[in-house]
Amino acid sequence: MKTIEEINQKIREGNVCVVRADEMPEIVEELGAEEAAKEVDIVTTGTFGAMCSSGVFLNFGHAEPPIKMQRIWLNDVEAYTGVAAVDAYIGATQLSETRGMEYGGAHVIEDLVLRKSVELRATAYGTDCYPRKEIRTTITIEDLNQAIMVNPRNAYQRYNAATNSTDRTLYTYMGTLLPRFGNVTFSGAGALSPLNNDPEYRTIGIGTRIFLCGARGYVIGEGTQHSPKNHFGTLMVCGNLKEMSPKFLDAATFPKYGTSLYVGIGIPIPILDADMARKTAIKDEDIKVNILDYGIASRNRPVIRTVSYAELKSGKVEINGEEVPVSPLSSYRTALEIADELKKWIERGEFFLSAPVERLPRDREFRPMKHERGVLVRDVMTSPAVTVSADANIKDVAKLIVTSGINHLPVVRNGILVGIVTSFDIAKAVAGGVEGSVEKVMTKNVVTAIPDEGIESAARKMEQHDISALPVITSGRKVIGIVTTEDISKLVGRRYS
Amino acid sequence: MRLHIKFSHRIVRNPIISQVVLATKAPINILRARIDHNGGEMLLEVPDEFCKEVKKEFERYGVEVQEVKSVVEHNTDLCVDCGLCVSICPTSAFSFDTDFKLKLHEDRCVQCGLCVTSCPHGALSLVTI
Ligand code: SF4
Ligand code: SF4
Repeated sequence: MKTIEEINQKIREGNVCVVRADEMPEIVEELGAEEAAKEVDIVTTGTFGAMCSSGVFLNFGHAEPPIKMQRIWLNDVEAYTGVAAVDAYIGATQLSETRGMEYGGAHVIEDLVLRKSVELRATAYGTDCYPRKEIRTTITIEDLNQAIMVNPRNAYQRYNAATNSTDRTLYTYMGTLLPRFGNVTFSGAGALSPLNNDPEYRTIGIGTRIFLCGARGYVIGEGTQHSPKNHFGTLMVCGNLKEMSPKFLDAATFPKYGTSLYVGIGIPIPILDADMARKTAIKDEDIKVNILDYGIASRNRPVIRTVSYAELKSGKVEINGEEVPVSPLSSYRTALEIADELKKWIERGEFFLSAPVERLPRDREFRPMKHERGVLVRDVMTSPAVTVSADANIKDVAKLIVTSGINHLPVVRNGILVGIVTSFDIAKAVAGGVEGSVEKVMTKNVVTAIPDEGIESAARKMEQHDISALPVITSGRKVIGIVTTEDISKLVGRRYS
Repeated sequence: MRLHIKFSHRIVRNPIISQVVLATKAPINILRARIDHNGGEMLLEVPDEFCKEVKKEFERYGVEVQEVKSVVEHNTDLCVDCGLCVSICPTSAFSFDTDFKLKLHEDRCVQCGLCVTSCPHGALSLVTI
């Protein structure tokens, strides 16, 4: 058992033992977890990939006369200003209003790090304390009071791979996906990724000091969509943009999708005991993800198959008996460089470990969005419907129509739909002296609806067939209700009036 | 070897390629072709031993011929070695070296341009000849 303080003391004394995460499996295999935990003090991890959920808080200082910025653009990319007068948040995926997808928030952030000048444009409504209504100027990162990167969701523990079953090319945040399972793309550094080396979040928590794009940064909490139950943990991180290096931060454009920021993150894992040694000995073979079909534009994309990071990194996977080429989205070369760099910082005594002040939640699950489902036929239908038996007498049906005031009567035999009659059909029969059962005059080809059908679809059917009611039936053609144009227009009136 | 040929609109309708093939017996492979009202250009794959002869033959018909060495330019400053281009290329012209750096095998490239539009970092461009 070691404490973080003991490890920091070793860093101070210059005799700390740091190894890269990809070296751990061999060390643990050779020495055993107990011995490895005695030998190794810190394991460094790294990942460098597209992390869309990234951005920077900027403070511009006050103009003379001052302005309360209501909307602001940096190189024509809008930043969020609903936070005080001269603060703004520029998000990586916001697109330029003049250049579109080729330039976005990620590029503004990169240009700031590259010390390039950026055009600032802001508008305001003007107040007694902030009279100015417009400003246009040029700034560099040095002119900003603060430029603090705060990324709501970074460093995904693992991420499902992508492929495409359709016969057209898809342009996604997972890159270009070629038709008919033409390729597979995946994200993340596998066994080198930070969270895979501490899957129970024993040492990574709120306040953990990390490597963030070449600067010192911190974990400030669980990331959004943190879903530890199924090993899809994420981190929210922050760091000073002014200290970051363009080597470990890179703007990207995914064709026909938009912009994203490649973020470099490295986290030191203290080897407190044999358990941590064992955890950091994780291999790519042990990390499994699904290959999802992005051809289905749903949040529940079908799983094509399950693979390990080792298979993905081999460059080829088999799908339906065919070998499919695989591409990473993240740079493993840079991920290794980050783990090496962090190792150097620690060995040189420039970086100390910090114990988390709070652990990350381990019981969360990512839930889908709750949104209003469209109105369904079941919501507006009249149920149960008044029906008549196929052998009912026409005269009796005429009476029923007069007393009930109903215009559409589904005709059933043993509860199963066999036809429909309208008040007009019956009136015509009576006037023409037709006698006998209702079967003689009913319409046999009935246009129907099901309870889970949207009302738009039901309305379209009635319009197409020029009718004003649809029996609502089960899959066994049992009549459970009836929906009329009146029911739908009543609802539309209520919703839009 | 790859040859880039360029011809004016006046000779677009002539069966020059066939004539050159018949005259030289060279197995010529057309990798890319573009023809419009200004004329046309093509990228051809020609076995090294036939190159000289093929070149001479084309020039007889007034076709401009140039040897092509590099076909897609890989800017290593912009490249982050992600490898997204690896699975996109139909001729497997990209691979990783042992340091996980991207390697381009130029001889395999047929200038389809797919990798150029797919690279998220703008690190690839077609060399316009
Ligand atoms: S996709 Fe672009 S950035 Fe990625 S490895 Fe290929 S050339 Fe480099
Ligand atoms: S241009 Fe086409 S053939 Fe050449 S490297 Fe790019 S994808 Fe491969």
